[in-house]
Amino acid sequence: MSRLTLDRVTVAYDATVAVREVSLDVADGEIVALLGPSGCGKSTLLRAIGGLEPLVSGAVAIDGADVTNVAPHRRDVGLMFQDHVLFPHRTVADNVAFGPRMHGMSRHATQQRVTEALALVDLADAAPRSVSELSGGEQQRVALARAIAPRPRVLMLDEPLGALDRALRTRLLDELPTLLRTLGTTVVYVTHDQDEALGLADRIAVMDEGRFRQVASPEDVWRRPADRFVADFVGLDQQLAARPIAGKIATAIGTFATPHLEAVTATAGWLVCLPEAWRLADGRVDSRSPHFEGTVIGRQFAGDHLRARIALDAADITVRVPVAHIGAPTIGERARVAFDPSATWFVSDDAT
Amino acid sequence: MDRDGSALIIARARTAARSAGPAVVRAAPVVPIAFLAVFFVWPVVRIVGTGLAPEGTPALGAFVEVLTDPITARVAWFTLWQAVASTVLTVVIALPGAYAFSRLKFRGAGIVSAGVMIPFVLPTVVVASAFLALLGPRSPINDMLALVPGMPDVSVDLRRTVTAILIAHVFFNYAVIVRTVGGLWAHLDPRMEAAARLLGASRWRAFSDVTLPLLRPAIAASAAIVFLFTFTSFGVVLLLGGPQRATIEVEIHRATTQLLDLPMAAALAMLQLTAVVAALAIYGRLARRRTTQSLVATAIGVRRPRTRAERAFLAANLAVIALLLAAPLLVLIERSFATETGWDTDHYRALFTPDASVLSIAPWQAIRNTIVFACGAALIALIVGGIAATAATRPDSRGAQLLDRALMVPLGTSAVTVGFGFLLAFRHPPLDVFEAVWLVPVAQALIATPFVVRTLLPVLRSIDPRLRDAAAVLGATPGQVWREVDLPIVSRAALVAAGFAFAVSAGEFGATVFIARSDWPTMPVAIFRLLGRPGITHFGQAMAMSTLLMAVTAAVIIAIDRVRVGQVGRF
Repeated sequence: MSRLTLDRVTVAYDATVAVREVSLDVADGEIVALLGPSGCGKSTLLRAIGGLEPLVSGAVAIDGADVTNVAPHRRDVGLMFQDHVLFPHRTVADNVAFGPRMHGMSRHATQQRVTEALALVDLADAAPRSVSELSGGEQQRVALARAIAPRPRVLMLDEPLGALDRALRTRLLDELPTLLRTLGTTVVYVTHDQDEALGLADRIAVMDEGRFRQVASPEDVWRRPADRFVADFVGLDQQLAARPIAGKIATAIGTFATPHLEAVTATAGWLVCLPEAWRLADGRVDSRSPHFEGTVIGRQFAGDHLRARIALDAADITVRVPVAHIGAPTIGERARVAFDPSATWFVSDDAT
Repeated sequence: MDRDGSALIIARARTAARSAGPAVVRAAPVVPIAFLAVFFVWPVVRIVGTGLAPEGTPALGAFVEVLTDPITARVAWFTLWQAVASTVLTVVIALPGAYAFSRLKFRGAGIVSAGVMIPFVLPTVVVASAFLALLGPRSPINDMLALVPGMPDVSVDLRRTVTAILIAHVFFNYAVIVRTVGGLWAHLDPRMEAAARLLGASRWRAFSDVTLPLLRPAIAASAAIVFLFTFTSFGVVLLLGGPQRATIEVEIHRATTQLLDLPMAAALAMLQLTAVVAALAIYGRLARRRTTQSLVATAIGVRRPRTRAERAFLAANLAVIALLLAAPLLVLIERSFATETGWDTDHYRALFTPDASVLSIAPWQAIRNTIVFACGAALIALIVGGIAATAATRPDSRGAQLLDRALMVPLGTSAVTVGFGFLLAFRHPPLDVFEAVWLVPVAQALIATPFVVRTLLPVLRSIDPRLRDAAAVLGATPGQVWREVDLPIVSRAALVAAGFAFAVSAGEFGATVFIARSDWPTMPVAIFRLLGRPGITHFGQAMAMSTLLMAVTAAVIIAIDRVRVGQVGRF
């Protein structure tokens, strides 16, 4: 339970600068997700926090104390590695016991921590087994138990659900936030999956090319992306080229009043449409929102809804149609869609 | 960020990386470097000094005289051509073996492939003894010929012939080709040859156009190793060749011990050193050209022989092994028990009876010396090689790479150069070869260290560096990381390396014969002295001691092969 502060942290490998001047303040017990594509520097940043990569400049502090030049084993942070990195020559219990043992705990106290940590991840029975006998999901949980057993001040998780199959991922995605909250530890969670980040983080830091694009709550990242990259990355791929004109946003399909236009100074950008911005217009015509007509050119079944691709006169758009919806469109059909400008967000071009 | 800014950040990153890790860890490579400097570089410097400035002042006269001497030319020529002939012969005989053992499945394949390794690690003196027993006048072949009516006058005596040397060299190096080439062959995708056959290539064309080019780097590299070994062959040539068949190594020994002409020996050693460095450079080139073709798991390509031709081929290769590899060793054992009155343990008992031999000490003491020295040498080699291998595993350390290469050099420069260099360099206390007995295990360790490095390095490199990171983040100090992560993983390999170093040291002859004090001989030196004496008693004792040394070495090697880690004995 501790505060983690990154102050203009820069990390470089031989020929590339992986993290550039990144600053972040993680509050006590907060869960922050570092979200970004592979190679954006998020794992490097984790390693730097753990003391495994030297900083070129900047500082890392835990609870206000500078740990920039403190060796990894004295930082008291936990790191759960991507694809686990369990010690292959040790049993499950020995893997989990490693941290407490290194911290000089008595045999008895170590044993207690092991039992506790394995119970938390629901693997109490696996203690004597060899780690090579475990399934991917079990290994993942042992890795988590190993990371939390010494009760680190800051717990870092590097793509913890990365290598798992979909069913297991979904289950763990349900369990993990509860588990992390139970621990109450300050958590930095690295992922490239927006669902994971949105689902379990208090705040998300979207990263690209070694820099933070946006640090905000999941809702803010989703509803108010800082730029087009963030919008793309969290899956808001419906974007219309747009220009702010006289307090409104002009696009190919019309000019609208959209939220948060006061602060816009840019001359060009994109109007990001949240999924709920478009809906299929049923018989009732709501005069307050603009309506458009187009041809259905594609449809994609996605379980609880359909994604219908509709060609309007000026742009192609995607509409989510609940599966229960009567008269789901078929390809070639004409369809009427309603647009809700309040479910959009303008991002300027400057930021990219 | 502009280019200059990035460059600055990178430069600072390098500084930061370099300052990581405690001083002890960073200072550790000093141990192997200092070891090499004192016990290898300095002796070589003394050799060069003695060659170019015999009286302390530069005088090239003696050097030039030696190099232009027709005898030197003859010796150099003999050294070269016997090495080439041995290499070609070994490749020709062993290549079919490489195929048979990598592609054909048969009962006992495991034992045969472990057994094939034994000659490679046998002490040269033991090999020479075995071939003296097999090809000399006391050969059982002659006993058998004598029983054949109608040919009483024919007797085999190949001592002091090139034939004996060449056969012994093939015996020695058969495993190098079989293991290196066979190792690659087993992993070549057999479907490539199948594809060639379906495209219309005959069996031979498929081999020569598809398989052979893929194997060529492995063949070239292993042939280069065989060349190096036979070029620097000492014990075998000394004992089997006689004065007329001297290689440079043998000539260095003769100049030192019989002519007492150190400048001449030094000049020859320099010639040797130059040739070996050139050969090593060529080997380095060849080894770098690795095959990148599709490799598969061994099991895919291995199958039982199916046709009569394949069975005959396999039988022929097993026969070669039986005749070439097994026969000399069996005859050696047989001769160690042979007395005037039939088979008995006379010679063995004589080894443990005081004053029963020409050695200045009781023979059993030579056995004790061997074990003590070899244990010491193995320990030193393990420490020096272990630190060097660990340093070479650390990322972005170009110095470590250099260290790795440097430690391979004593292997190539030949034991005789090491021994002769010790003789020149260490003549004053505390480093005095005539006083300090412990210099013997040091010299042996120098020769054993490359084996240790070669055994440990692949295992150390195979450790996921993130395991160390994981341990560090969990609170392990660098020392604890090494003890908790590296050591458990590497301990088996270390055991193998130690065993290998022990076997190499126990059988070491070329260096030991120069520096072992006459009252502290090792088994190989004692065998050499016993063989130099006439009479069946001495011969029998030499055979008995050779058998004991072989038993110890073979036991260690078989034990190592059981542990089966990494690439023991491969280059």
